[in-house]
Amino acid sequence: MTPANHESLLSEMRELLAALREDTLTDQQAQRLQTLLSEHESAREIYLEYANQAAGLRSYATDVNFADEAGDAEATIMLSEALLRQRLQREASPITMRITRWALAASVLIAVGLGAALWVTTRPVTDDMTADLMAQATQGGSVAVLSRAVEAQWASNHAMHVGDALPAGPIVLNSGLAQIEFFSGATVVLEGPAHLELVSPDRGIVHGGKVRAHVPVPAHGFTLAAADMDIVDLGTEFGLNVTDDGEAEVHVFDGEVELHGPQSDMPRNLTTGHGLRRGANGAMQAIDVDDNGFISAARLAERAENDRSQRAAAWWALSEQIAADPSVVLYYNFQNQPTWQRTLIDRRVESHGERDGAIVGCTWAPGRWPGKSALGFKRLSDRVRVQIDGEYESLTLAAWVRFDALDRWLSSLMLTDAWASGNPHWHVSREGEMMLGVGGSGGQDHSGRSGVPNHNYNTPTHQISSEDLGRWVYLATVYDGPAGVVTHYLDGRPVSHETILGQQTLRLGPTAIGNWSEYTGPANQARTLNGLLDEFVIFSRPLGADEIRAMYEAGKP
Amino acid sequence: MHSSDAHAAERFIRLFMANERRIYTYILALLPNRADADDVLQETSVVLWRKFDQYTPGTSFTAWAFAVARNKVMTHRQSRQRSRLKFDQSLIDALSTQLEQRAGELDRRHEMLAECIEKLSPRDRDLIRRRYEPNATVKTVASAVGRPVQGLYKAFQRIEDTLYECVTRKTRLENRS
Repeated sequence: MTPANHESLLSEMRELLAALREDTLTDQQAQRLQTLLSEHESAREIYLEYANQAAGLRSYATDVNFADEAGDAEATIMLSEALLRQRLQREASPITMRITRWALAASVLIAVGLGAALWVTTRPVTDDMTADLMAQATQGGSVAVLSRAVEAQWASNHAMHVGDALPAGPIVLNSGLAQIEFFSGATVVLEGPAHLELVSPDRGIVHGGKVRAHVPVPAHGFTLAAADMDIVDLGTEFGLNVTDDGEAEVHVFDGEVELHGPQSDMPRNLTTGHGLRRGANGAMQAIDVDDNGFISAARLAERAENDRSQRAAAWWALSEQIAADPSVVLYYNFQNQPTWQRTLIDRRVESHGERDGAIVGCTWAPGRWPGKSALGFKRLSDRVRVQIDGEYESLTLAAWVRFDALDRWLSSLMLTDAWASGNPHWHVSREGEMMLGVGGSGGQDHSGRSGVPNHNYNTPTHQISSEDLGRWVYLATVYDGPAGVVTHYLDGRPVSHETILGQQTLRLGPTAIGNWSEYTGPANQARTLNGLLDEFVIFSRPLGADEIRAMYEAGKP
Repeated sequence: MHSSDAHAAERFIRLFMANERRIYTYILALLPNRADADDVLQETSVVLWRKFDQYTPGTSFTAWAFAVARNKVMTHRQSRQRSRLKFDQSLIDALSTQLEQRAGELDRRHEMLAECIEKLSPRDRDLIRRRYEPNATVKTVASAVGRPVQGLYKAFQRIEDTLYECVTRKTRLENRS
């Protein structure tokens, strides 16, 4: 049988090729396909075009997945072409080929300055972080986690951060978008203004606004209540819109939901493509499903990517500004460093490498956003060593830190080896105090004035609480000599001011970041930081509250 | 490491990457099962690198790679082919010739494909990305996105055909202008 024309050949080929792709070809179909290919050049043409498309989609998937994984520490290692050649030298094993492809793709992107494009990825919460949150959650009675937010404005008493574990209770979003993942596995996307009440890992109440729920198999039975209805999901995706006047609309995009009304009548089932409006008076009415009226998780991810890449660009601008600031003593941005390199590069424009850090132990890890890297401190030996000469009337210290635990008496941020006159020790106590210790001059100085004692300038306790563990916080401390004030900032806000005890110039010399090198006491009292650092800067001038705030805003994840 | 070796490695990687899609298309056309084709692509890449000193610069890398790939396809078919299609020699010849002749056109189609992927809905784009991950099957995608397998079969056919249509339309438009 010969197809009548190209159209009928094309449609027959499509059926056969679909079966071929999914490996469901019957013997008869296989026979037919071989006949068509042998006898018709245009059948071969269609066949080759589909094969070409499959090859194209395969490289598309590889590239997208590569971009996703570029945030991993592993991906960074691939950026070195030297390493790549070395591997190829050994033997082009299949695995090598896959890696080289990525490595080249990455180096090409970086060469043309598109490194930032790699940040356009969608991995909101890292695995170990999720584990931390789960651990925390089981203690704190949380039921869900905030996994994404785009331009989210929360009601003033409900501010939250991406990655926060959420306890049962209300979520009030004034505007913007937010994605909440219930611990049962159900995901809901909220469009502000919206008011959602979290009840349990598999139940929420929509008091108002638009919500789109995606419910995978493990979360079947997830229920959203609206007005006096219960919407039980039997899998897999539906939208719910509750208006101020008590009307509720249910739209089933995919799968099936079960509606339970106030009366004990039989539950109604709605399947894909069906919608229902329940008026304020309780009357039910079938409506058309409006798939585009509800932001999907995929769409939200796109928005979040755009948002994030814009903010990544803002951070780059800030980073360049800091690097060019002559008052910067040292600047590590922890970015674009091959993981095998054990030197932490001082990014100041003026740097000649004299303040590059020596990485001792430590492991590279994903940073504040995909594509950003950070340095992890955990073991007692982990630290970065640096030599900083000079004397300073004032200093501003600032860092992005993710504490995994405050399990030491003191968690080190930056400590001079010595503890002598003017030596700063910057750390956080187990009680969540930010502390700047300054070594005193002791005794009396040569002019007979009595010396300045050792002193710790502390914030109140619990500035950093257990809820801040596992999330990125921005810590900044300003020692303003001329004004005689030490100010600590958390996430861009001043949290304490203290008067300086006596005029001293600050000196650093041999210094450790993330640890205290001179510590010789028992291991269980060590001061290693347990967490990640993703940016670290020292200024030789006292920064104002506005500047600190601006650095926080431009750098926040 | 000799610098000439390093240089050869770099040249090889660039040539291979530039031709990888074509080579894969060729293998997939002769051996229409993705798992088979993936295996053969890996084997082919190893042989190409080992025999890279036999490649004459300036000649067609594609033609050389196709010859190596074709041998690999033949050995693979004898040992462990998964597909139930077994093309005879004359059909393989016909496909090979046609593919070499049309390589340029297929490259154009590939460029259009990128634009057409962009036009897909995010959900379809996500599906197709998952489907073409190494070792993915409709079943693994179904469980990852929580949708029924049967529906996904249909979805993939729709997406593949949409992309094919889109690419064909764009290619025609371009040829006209």
